[in-house]
Amino acid sequence: MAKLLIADDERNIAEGLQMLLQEEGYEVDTATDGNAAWKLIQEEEYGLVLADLKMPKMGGLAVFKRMREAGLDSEIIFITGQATVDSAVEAMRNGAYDYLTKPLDVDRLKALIPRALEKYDVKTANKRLKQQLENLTRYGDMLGQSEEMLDIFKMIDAIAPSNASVLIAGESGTGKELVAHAIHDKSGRRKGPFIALNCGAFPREILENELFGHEKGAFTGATNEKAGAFELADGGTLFLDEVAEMEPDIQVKFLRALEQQSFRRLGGKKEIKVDIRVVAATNKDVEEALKEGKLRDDLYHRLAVIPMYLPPLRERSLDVRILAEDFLQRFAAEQKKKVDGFEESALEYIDTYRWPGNVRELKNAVERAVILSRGGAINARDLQPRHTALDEGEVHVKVGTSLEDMERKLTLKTFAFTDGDHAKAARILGIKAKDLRARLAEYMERDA
Amino acid sequence: MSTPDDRTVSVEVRAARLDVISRLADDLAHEIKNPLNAVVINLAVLRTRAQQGDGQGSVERADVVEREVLRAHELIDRLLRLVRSAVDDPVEQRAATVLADVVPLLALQARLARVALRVEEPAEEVVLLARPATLRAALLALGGDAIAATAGEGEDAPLLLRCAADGAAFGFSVRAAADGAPGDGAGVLATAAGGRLEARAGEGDAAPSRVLLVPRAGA
Repeated sequence: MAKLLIADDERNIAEGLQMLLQEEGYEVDTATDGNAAWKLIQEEEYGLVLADLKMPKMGGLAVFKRMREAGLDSEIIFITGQATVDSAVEAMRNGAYDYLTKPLDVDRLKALIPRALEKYDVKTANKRLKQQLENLTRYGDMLGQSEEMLDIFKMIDAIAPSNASVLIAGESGTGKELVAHAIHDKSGRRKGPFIALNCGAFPREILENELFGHEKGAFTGATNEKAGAFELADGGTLFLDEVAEMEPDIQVKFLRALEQQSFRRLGGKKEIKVDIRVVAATNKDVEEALKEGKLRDDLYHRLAVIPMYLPPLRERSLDVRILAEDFLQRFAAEQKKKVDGFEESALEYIDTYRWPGNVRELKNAVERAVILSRGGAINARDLQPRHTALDEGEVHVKVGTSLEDMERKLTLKTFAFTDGDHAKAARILGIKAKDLRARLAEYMERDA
Repeated sequence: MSTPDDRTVSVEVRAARLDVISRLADDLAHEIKNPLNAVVINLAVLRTRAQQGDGQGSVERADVVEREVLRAHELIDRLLRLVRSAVDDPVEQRAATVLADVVPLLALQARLARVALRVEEPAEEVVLLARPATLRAALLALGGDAIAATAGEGEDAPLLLRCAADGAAFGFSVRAAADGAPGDGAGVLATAAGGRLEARAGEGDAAPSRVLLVPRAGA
């Protein structure tokens, strides 16, 4: 827990408060003038400063202004004998957490401190994320510091200069097209075109037309000639997404064109030579697609000269928060909105939700939250899909949680879910009410 | 029986004294909250110590509470002494005693106004002849004006109260208040106390000063 600093020139007040708050479990330092307080603030990290407005050498407001100028996020609660509207307004306008008058209401102070520290914790967590983002080397439009992504970035560097075909496997939303784009951008073909085609988005006939184009009169309605993706990508990179969705006979034509680097338009007789690199992608299990015959063996071997696998977001726990923070900054700027980062609940949600739609789902969730935001920080509810209300009966457990902690989490959540009904909660958990009481008592004792 | 002129002076003096008292009362009302705050906080600590059976810790906190209560009492007492002084005939009194009564109140005002007050005490024992309550009020008015003017110069601006023999008299000198001049409250009180207030131009770059001159006993 972050430390507290009490800055008050009245020694008996500073010492008394120090003792009182140490009893509450806080680590507390004291300073008896503004200069001493500022010196300590520069040396130590404080989550909260309790400062008298009037102090020798430097007043509380001046200390606070210096803190903010130095980029320090510690919260501050001003304490003063003069409860004038002016000083209260000035303190709050400067971003003070609160303003207390002497003599202090000790209970109110005790209630304020954990809230102020929580605000500080959230602020610093968000700041840390931003710093991580700043320190991170962006890789094209991609972002990530997980080992998996760093390996991907290294691999792109290694394979980009060659002309070898690449087959990227990965769930929907993992950023397969971004990887393809990065390969293109890092290759000698970067000045050439990057043409992307989603094979799953077209019926058979249209896909063939999209791939190879057609001559005028090739079929009813073909009033003009049209270049296909193969032709358009000449000198550059052709990205074929959902390649396993391609019908087998088109796969044959495609393989031929790929091997010979030449093809004929639909209805055409002339062989057109092209110089293209193919990067293909699939969200299917490649082994299964091969076994089921959805993906031809020969095409697979031609495409998967360099196979790549993009892990789902849930396997990139190190990247989830920084991606969320990056999206937040980007969409807040786009929407011209001031959003104060994520609340603790939102960060917990980001960490524990499985993100089945991967980076795309995370991006959409953050964009939606920013659009709907009315200022302040984003909370967990803002991030949740609108069609699924917050499920109070759900427990998120991260890999790495011990069985004991998982049991504790489930027990407490069930108890809360039943509104504290011991008998009902025990029945759901399949234990005796007596045992439930004993466990709850044990948790309370451990937390105390 | 007083003459109409005496009554006029008396009204002026009373008005000036009330002005001094009112300014002090305002500052004291603020300052009294410090000992009260210390009492509230240390009572809370005392309660915890007592519940824990920490006898020594409880006694220490009780001592702090007692000291703070006495401090609050002293602050109120100083103000009351000024208010209650009805009989105020000229008497001999030591300059050091006058300063001991007045300086804590000026220090309080200086602290609240973020002025760094320094007092240069007389080098030797001096006995003055003046009306005691009015003299103290005159000094508080003189010092209060100077503090108010100095406060406008930024945080912890310095102010010196110089106390030294000045010819046949004894002088209490401060930097002249920007908005004050002899003849205002301090001047009225100085004359009523048995002394006089003078304005003096500063030498070189020095700021002008105001000096409250009080007759020395036997001079």
